[in-house]
Amino acid sequence: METPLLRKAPLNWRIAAYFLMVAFAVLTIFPLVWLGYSSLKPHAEIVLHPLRLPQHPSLNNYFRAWELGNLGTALLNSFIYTIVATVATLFLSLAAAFGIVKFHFKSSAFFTAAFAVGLMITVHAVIIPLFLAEVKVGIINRRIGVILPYIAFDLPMSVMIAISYIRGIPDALIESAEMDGAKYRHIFWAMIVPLSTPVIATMVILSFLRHWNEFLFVFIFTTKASMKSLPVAITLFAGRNNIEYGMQYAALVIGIIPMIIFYFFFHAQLIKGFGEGALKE
Amino acid sequence: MKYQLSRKISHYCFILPAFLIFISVMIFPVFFSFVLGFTQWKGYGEMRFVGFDNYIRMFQDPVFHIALRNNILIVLISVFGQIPLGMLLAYMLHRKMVKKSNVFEVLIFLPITISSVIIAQLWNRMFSPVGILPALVRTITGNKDYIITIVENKDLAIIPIMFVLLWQHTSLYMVIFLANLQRIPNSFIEAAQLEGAGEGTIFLKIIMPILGYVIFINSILAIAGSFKSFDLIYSMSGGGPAHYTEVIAVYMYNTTFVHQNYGYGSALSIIIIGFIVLSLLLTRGVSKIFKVE
Amino acid sequence: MRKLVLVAALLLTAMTMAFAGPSKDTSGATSGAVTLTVYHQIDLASPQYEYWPVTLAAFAEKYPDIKLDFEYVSGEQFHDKFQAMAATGDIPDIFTTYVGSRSSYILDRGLVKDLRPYLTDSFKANYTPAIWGPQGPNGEIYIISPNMAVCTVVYVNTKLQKELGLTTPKTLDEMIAQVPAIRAAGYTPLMFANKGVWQAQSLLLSMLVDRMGGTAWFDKARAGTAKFTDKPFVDALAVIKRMVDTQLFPAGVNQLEGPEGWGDFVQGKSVYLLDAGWRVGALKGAAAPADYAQYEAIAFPEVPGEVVHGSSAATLGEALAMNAKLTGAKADAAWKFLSFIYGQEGLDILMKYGTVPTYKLDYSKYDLDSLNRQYIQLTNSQTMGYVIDAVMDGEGVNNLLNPGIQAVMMGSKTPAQLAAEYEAWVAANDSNRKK
Repeated sequence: METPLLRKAPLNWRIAAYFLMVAFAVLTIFPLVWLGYSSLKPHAEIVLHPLRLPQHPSLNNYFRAWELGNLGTALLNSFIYTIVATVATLFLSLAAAFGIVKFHFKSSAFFTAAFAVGLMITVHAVIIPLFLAEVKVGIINRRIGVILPYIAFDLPMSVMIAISYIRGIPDALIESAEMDGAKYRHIFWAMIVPLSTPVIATMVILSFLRHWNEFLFVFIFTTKASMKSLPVAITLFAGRNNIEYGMQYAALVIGIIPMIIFYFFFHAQLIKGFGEGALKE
Repeated sequence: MKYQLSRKISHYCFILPAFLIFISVMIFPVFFSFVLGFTQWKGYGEMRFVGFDNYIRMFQDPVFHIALRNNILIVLISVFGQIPLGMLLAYMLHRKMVKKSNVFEVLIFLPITISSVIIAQLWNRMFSPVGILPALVRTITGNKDYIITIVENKDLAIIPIMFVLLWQHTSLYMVIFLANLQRIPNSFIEAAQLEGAGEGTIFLKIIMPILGYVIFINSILAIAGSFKSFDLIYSMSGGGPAHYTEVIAVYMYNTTFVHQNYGYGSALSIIIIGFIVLSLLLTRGVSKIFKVE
Repeated sequence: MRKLVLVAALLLTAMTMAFAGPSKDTSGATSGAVTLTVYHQIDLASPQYEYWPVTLAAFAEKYPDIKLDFEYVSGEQFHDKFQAMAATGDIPDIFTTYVGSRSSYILDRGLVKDLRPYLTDSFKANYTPAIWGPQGPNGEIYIISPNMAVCTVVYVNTKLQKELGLTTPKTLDEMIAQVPAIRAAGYTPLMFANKGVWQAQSLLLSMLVDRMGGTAWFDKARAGTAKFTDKPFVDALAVIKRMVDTQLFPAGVNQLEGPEGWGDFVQGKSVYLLDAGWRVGALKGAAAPADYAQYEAIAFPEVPGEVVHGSSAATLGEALAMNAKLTGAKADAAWKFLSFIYGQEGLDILMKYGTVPTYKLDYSKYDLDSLNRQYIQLTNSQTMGYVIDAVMDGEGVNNLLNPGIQAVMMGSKTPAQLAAEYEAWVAANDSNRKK
């Protein structure tokens, strides 16, 4: 959507931008690069010479961590939990936000407030009663027992983000569709969802990473090794008494890589523009 | 009439699936905590109702005071650090002020993709007396005994953690702003430029007001997130040394799960909710003054 | 999506009902193979537990009919999850248990089987008598502790000592007198790491309190006939403060993680290391063999004013225990498992991997390295005081005493202040005083 009319930002802004961006980039690159090359060093070398580049780089840590930590299974589980929960959260919260924002009923305020209350609840405040309830219902040690709290804890934030965005979609668009006799679910699928692409990308990215890194629910609500996710498997390498840095770092790198790939794919959606006019306020 | 009814039904059909899952998992357990807050209970055995004792204890508890102070500092760094910085970065990326903006975007975003447990370990390896930062300073200054001393100062110990939080979470707000900037047509900026408005004016007078409601929502997320902050602090310092970096959520966790004091722990988790409600009312008030919405 | 909503509705119904309630019966497998679920607090990736797969293989060979289904968790997370399980009353067949307050959430609920019916006199005679003291209010025995957790040992890098022309100090004053020489050479005198917060209490204060007051005084303080504001306790705290002030410890002692501390010692950057007895295995794993060979283990030096000489502090090491609900074939299988891993065959393997067990083995048969040999000699010659967090309530120790010691070390509290605060807490809350 670059038009010749749009002028570049002035020099002082661009210098400031470079300064900020580079500062952030360095702060990110330094620890990650260090993590990356340290994972190629044996444990003793990491302890003795924390800064030094690996003398004999080897993928040994990766093989050992993969095998000892059962990381293959864990990776698969992480994908299952994360994808199911992310997709479900996305549609549930878009629908809820649409219902709240575009119908203009009095109950909307109540629902908004209720979801806002959800933002305040800490995981630890509910974990034990929730565990007891899940045991009663019999969904402990089953994937749904993990996915359900994932969705619930992600809903408040997702609904809030969706509300803030869908508010900006003009009412007139929806009213004219109503006039043409469109059903609400058609309006939802044919208008709201496509118009929300950038915020969908945001929501997907944020829920994906929350679920990907979640620890406590999987840890408490499952006992079988075959159901553990990656963060739980990784903590196996961070016992209190001894830390096998080499293997632990290798496991950490394995956990970070899918997130980086995922973000590369999705950020393009995030900044995808629209045709002018559709969303003019 | 029939039209109104079908509208009403549709309204509920859209909201209820999410709402049902939400209350079944989150709201009911909180009622449970609310009741426990008035008891003395070890998680088993006799449950004794003690009225407001837990809340009275809280206001006399020096550890709670430190935790509250630290929580407030974290709220401040979130609302006045992460959000403006995130917004500025988003705007700079949106206006393509740097070359290779995709690369920078990913690098800024990366910290939030990594779990807090890992972040904590990374930064601990940086700050520790045998870590990388002191090692660098020692090489540069020749002071063999250099360590990061603010970590052992009662008032300043929280600063390194606040720094890491700023680094870690700014990108969250950046991403939300970035998405919302897409719905501002370029013609707005063009028009302003034609009228001779500088970049600062465009940012403050055009972009900020349009994003007003997003700022408001982000502030809510920031406040709630700050009062709940747990993962990073738990893994980085555990609240230590000597409770200097304690926050309410970590204190509540230790009280409940390590010391099995369910009554006091539940009261602490209820007070977290209380403080968030209070701050949200405040935020709402402020946003009314600035006529957001 | 419909399924999700349905389950949510179900959950909602469950929530509205009461939480507590009876749960399934765990008894009796029928015939043939028995499967036991085990919830185990170890970190399999750690070199400290290299013996464990070997032990399990030996067990599987002897009892092929007993299958074990493990869940391994380490650190604080072990307890988080176990508490949630304990709240339902439905816990695994076998699980790690600590003697004392750390496992109170299962012990006080009566979920752990009392092993006394299994323990014949001839069985008990094979072990150090110290492990058969009462573990419950009515003299119950829940675990067969495989080793004593000795909390205070000073490790010496004799090569560095020679290099600096030092000899092993007999008293704390002598050790402090060595500080200028060691610091001038660029080394740390006494490496110690206290970021974990528990170390200064378990590894140092417990021993110092025993030196200053002895177990008899501590028993009185527990019962309330003596107070933690008494001289022994305050003096012990003051010794820690003095150790900080004289720069015996490394700078930033409260910022150092355990492995960073002994890692530094292994790198030859400190002359002495203050750590627990169970660190021997880790030192062996991390140090170059030539360095390891010259390490020595000594008692903490004599402290001015001590009434008990040369003592350390120790508690029973944790062990696997049995679910109280087990009966029939399952209980038999569980006992076979416990008596194997904590019997001669199992502990023989433990010994081969360098941990000295509570089972009376003929040490001369084992090819022990010199540090392990010294360690056995040392601990056999010492009396052992209480480890404070093993006998006092967790909340007072973790929430008040441990951070309080850090505050004393950093100068924001005085020993007398901390002692007064701790005494006040114990008097009002500790279960020891309520008996």
